Amino acid sequence: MLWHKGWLETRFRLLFVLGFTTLILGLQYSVRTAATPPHGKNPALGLILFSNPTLVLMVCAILGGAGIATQPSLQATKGLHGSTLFTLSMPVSRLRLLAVRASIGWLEAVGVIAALCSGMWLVSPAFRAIGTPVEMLEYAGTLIACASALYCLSVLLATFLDDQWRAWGTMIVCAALWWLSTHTPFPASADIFRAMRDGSPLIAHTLPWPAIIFSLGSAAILFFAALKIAQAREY
Amino acid sequence: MIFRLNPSSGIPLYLQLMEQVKHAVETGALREGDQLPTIRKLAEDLVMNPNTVVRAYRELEHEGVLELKHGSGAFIKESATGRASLIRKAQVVTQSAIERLMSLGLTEDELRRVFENELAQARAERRLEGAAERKP
Amino acid sequence: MTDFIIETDQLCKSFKSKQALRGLDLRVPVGSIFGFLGRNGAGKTTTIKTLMGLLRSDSGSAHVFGIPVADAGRTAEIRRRIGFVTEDKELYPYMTVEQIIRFTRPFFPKWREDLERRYLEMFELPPNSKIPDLSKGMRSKLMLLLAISRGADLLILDEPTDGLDPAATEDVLRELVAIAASSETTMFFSSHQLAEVELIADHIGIINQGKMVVTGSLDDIKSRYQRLQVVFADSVKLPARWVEGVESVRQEGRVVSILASHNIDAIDEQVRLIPGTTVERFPVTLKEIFLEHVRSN
Repeated sequence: MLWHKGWLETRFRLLFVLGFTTLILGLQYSVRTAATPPHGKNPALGLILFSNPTLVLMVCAILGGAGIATQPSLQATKGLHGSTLFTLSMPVSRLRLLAVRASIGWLEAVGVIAALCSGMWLVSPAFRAIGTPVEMLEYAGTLIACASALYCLSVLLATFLDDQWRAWGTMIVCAALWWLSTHTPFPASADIFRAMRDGSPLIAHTLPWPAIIFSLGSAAILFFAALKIAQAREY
Repeated sequence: MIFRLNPSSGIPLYLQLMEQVKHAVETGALREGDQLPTIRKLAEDLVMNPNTVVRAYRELEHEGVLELKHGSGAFIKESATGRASLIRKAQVVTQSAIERLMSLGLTEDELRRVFENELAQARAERRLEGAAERKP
Repeated sequence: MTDFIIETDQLCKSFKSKQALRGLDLRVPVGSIFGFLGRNGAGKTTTIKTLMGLLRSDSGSAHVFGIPVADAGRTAEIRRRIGFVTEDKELYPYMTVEQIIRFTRPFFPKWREDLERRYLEMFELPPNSKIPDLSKGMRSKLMLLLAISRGADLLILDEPTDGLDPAATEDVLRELVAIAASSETTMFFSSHQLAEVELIADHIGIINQGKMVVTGSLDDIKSRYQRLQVVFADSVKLPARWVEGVESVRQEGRVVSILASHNIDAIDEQVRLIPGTTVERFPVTLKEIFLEHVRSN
């Protein structure tokens, strides 16, 4: 029943994030017929280069969780909720608690990204013009792969931070990494933030494999670190 | 049969229960052959530890007040009622002693203290005499 | 196979600010109702959390069902056989009564549906109420239902009647007694209600400042402890040294009150050697024993 519990815990967060997704789709809709200025980017495209990675960040920050400390409501909490002890008294390994909750959040994130991409495709002819349906799918896949690393970062932070700090902490760390990626000589092909923007299949028309592999690898490492912290932590 | 125990009196609960059962026999509330509640029922009714009930019943069996018939329960023994008549004799003796002492002018509290003091003295004397009988 | 369902040996645990456990030795016999007593901050909850695998001790060992608590691979096995009620009685705020029962049930293969139904009805728990809408008393009862219906071999209850009104307390205690009478389930509970512990416990342990100061069968302890009240004929000097067993001596004018933990006959004798004394013996309540052992440092 851990899956059902995770669902009950995250469903309002999912709704919140879908709300934002709808907002972005709404913006897309409003610029769908805007003309491209000469020597400039199509406003619709310009929007997705910024809005989509930001949404992905937000999704990871909000939906992440470690499955041990209870996340009682949409409003992020301060301190450990008393029911955490109840969870830990169940005859379940911390690994299973972590894995189930992390999976639920990840699947929800995938759902949001899928909704975003299909929504975009339907709403704006600009995308249908610049990329093939296959590229759209590749784009969605890239977003999911890149999100995984950021999502696992959120899970890692969830193992030792209060819900409140975790959400903001994820956003801040990701923003810092984004800034760093543009200001340090990090190989552009492995840069996951770039892969979600200029390097993405919709723009570059190829799958950014180095970034995808780097992201999935980082995700695994971050998850493993989260597991170790969760197992070592005392309540 | 209604028992009432006082956990804060300091007297072990099993002793209190035993006293009350014996008192019930002495006053005739429990007669030979009467069945006492099962251990579980008594423990639940009085909200007390079942082992305490077990101990009380066992001690009472040891003293010959009741007998535990395996499977059917605890029943008051005939000899218990015999003990009751001895108790009644003691009551008569004590009654006349009290009347005499009170006519000398002792109050109830003084009487009680004298009695308890003498009981303690007797206990100490018995202990000195019968050191071998002391239980480990 | 051990006779003790819970056994700790010189358990030590420190937190940043204080040392919570300083060599705790705890022995809980199988099938007993064990009352774990102590002041707030004495180490009761730390001990319970260590037994449940929520905390790791710094040194010493703890075994539950003969399994070492420190064995990470087997803690789930231990928890599968334990029914636990937490101190603050908090459960998931986004679930209803029905949902949390359905959540808990699959984890325990020995779940007793009959007990679940019985307590749902007896405790009058509305299945569709959201947990935050329940009063504290109802939440306590719900936690108890979840703990008992597991068919556990050991119940660990942290202040089970805390916050309950007298009628609810009576209900809960009666159920605990009923369980003890009808099964081999061991009950280990911490409490501040000494009167209720005196009624239902057969063993106790008093913890003070991280150490066990009194432990054993409640009957034994209460028969060993006695109070001697001595009235002197004149104001006399008390013996410089008392025989073994004297815990405390309080004097007010010609009356002296002696609390003895054992060896009462020898103490009685020593007192009677002083001329002109009358001695009375009084039984000692659990409260007096408790206060005596938790006040001294």
